Amino acid sequence: MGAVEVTEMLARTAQGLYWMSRYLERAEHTCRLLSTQFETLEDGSVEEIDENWRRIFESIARTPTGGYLSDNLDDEDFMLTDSFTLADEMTFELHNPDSIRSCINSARENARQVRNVIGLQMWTQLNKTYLELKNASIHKIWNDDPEMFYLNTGDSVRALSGIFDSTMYRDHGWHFSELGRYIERMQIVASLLLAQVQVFPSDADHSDSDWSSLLSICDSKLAYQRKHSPLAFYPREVLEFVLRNESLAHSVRFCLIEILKHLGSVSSPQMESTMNEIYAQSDLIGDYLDGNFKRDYPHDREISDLLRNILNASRSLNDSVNNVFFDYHLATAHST
Amino acid sequence: MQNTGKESLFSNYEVAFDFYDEMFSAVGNPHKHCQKLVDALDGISPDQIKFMQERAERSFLHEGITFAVYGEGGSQERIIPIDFLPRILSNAEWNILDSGLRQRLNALNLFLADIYGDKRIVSDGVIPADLVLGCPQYRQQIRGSPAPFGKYVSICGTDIIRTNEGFMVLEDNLRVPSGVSYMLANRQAVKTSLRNLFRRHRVRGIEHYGQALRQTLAEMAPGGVSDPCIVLLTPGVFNSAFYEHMFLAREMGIELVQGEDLLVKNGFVYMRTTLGLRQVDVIYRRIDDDFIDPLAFREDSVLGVPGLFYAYRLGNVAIVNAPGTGVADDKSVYAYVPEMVRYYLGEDPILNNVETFLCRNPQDLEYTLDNLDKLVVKIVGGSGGYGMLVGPHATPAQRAKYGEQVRNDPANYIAQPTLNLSRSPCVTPEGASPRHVDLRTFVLSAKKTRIIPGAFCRVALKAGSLVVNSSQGGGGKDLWVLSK
Repeated sequence: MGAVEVTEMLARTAQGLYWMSRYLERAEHTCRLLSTQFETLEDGSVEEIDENWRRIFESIARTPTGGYLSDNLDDEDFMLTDSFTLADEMTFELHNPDSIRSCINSARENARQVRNVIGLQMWTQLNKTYLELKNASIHKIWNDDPEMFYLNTGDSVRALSGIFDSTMYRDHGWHFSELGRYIERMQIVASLLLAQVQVFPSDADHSDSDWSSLLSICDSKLAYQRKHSPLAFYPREVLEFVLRNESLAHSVRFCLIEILKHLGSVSSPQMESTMNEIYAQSDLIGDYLDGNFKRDYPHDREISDLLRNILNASRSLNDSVNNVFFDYHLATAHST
Repeated sequence: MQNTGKESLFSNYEVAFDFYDEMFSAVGNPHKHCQKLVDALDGISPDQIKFMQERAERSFLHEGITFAVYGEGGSQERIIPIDFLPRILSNAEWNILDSGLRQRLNALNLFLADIYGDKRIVSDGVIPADLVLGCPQYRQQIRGSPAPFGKYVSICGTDIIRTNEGFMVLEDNLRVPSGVSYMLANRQAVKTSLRNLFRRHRVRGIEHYGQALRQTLAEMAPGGVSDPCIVLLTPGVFNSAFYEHMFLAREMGIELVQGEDLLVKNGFVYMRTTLGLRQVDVIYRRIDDDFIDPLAFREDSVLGVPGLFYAYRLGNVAIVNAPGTGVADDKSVYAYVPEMVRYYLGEDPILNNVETFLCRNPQDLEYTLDNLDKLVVKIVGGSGGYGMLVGPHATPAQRAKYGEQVRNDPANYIAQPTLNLSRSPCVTPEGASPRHVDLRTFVLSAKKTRIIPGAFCRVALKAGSLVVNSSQGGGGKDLWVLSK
């Protein structure tokens, strides 16, 4: 068995695949945020609903266009109207880069420019998802079955990942799209955890639903139950699980492992010096994750700092990937 | 058409003596090679026909088979309309086209080699010197540039029409002809809709076009390169033909590059890859001459690559089609192509031209202005149906305004009689109805000349309209060339 040949590709094409995957990952995450939120809308109290909206908007660092509903917490009708508006903002608002429609539009636009390297099935499925969203509206889904809408849309996006996985040639395009997926996931999860400890302090009284819903959003509830057989959901245990578990597909640690794996597949010996810029960032994230969770992070303040550090390092990682592989200086570039 | 007592697709179809019908004779019987298809379609219920048509349209929608249309609000991405009823040509009919197209492209390449060389055709007085040398598409810079196998044009898109007098060439597209992706997409969609019928008709395959194109491009590589790096250079996602650029890059398995992805270093062209710079040997450019190199042509071009023309002149990279080919598809030069065939090949043209009046000649100008209501008038450097006047369909005010433009700049216009373009049945809510059609054929030529037995059959979807261009609301049909 010889070494697996991994072929280089046009930098702009690799960049298109990288961003296509990032947007798809974000779209899937937003679907999970909203389907979990709609579960709360069915049986949660007004306070719970409000807190969960706060977690969503904090995690994407966005203030709802119409503000929060805290001043009217006793008015259930108003709360539902407000949820309608907030759901619209997270689902269809094109000015919100995290809304599902924005993400799918951007993923499609990137895919449109790299259609020559992705399979027809992948493109057709993505285009269908785009057309379905184009024809949907918050009024329509609200009156129909919103939870099912988010579950179905999430499934469509997950199906895209499956099609991509089973049809894509394992060249640089594949590795860069996987890099995009895991860098995005790392940022999303770190942002969500940061919002979680801000809205639901882990060192204060808590309800199980605040933390079990976090696991649901991270597609990690089943894994957590299998690992811990919990009688209750302990905030610190949940946080550590989602940050550091090596076998959990949505943990920050798992993302880092995947990122390093795919970076290894796209680098070449001539790139050693430029790759140092990237590895400096990934090493930093590894160091943060290696800390002693009980000793080094006794309070939420330290946990928040840790998550901010991880977020900053992952953003720098994104910039470095861009500088080294996509937008490098032509004058200093070497020939292959 | 055929009265079988029940409502069928062709029950109310009407042929007219003035227009050749691609499926039926003037007395209403199917042409021999169309009989089998007509019989089969007549046995299909209107609901099934509707389902088939919708299925073909849906596949275009889902696959995003689009083109961009330019208008006041910028460009818009549109699905190209498809009519699933195929147009059929017998093998004998196709052989006429095949021979005629080979002959024509051969003559056009000899013409280009001549006018960028000794200019014998001009000095022999076959074609006026000012018509060639004064043409904006004549590029003095090309003189002395390499042209492997004497091929300046390797990818040619010639538009063919049919009237009661037979096939005629409407125009040649020798710069960056488009439409071949729609030919292939139409085939795929129609094959899916009419699977059994398709199999029974022994239709000649066209699916190998991408492979043939890649072979043609590889043959044009600078000498000694055995496995050349070929790229397709696109202006980008906002170009009207971007779908096609992407499609062809995918079919050939090559990179789809934009100007910013390429650079010229020491006279060689490189592209920016994820592992550094890789040398490029052949560029299939889908950018007009003016924009390919700001150092050689338009300074303000941001689409091209500075220094590309220099690398081309050195013979370090092939540009396909070569810059400067536009002079041979200028609408005034078009009038002389039959003469070129006689002059260079000593043969009579197999395919005739449409009678053309060059408004630069005073006599032709007067005739044109006196007969605007009967003529189609076009800008000599125009394409895509933009800026032309279809006299019989224009209002007196439109004709007067257009006539004024022609009088002010006569050399910029040509006129042709309004042609009785042939018609082919299309699916409408009322059953099959005749619509005017033409064909864009595709010829590939490098070391070998290759013609794929198919074409993009363009349809004027509006009843009575003669404008088949996609940018003007036209659609497409699959063309079936029968194997015997």
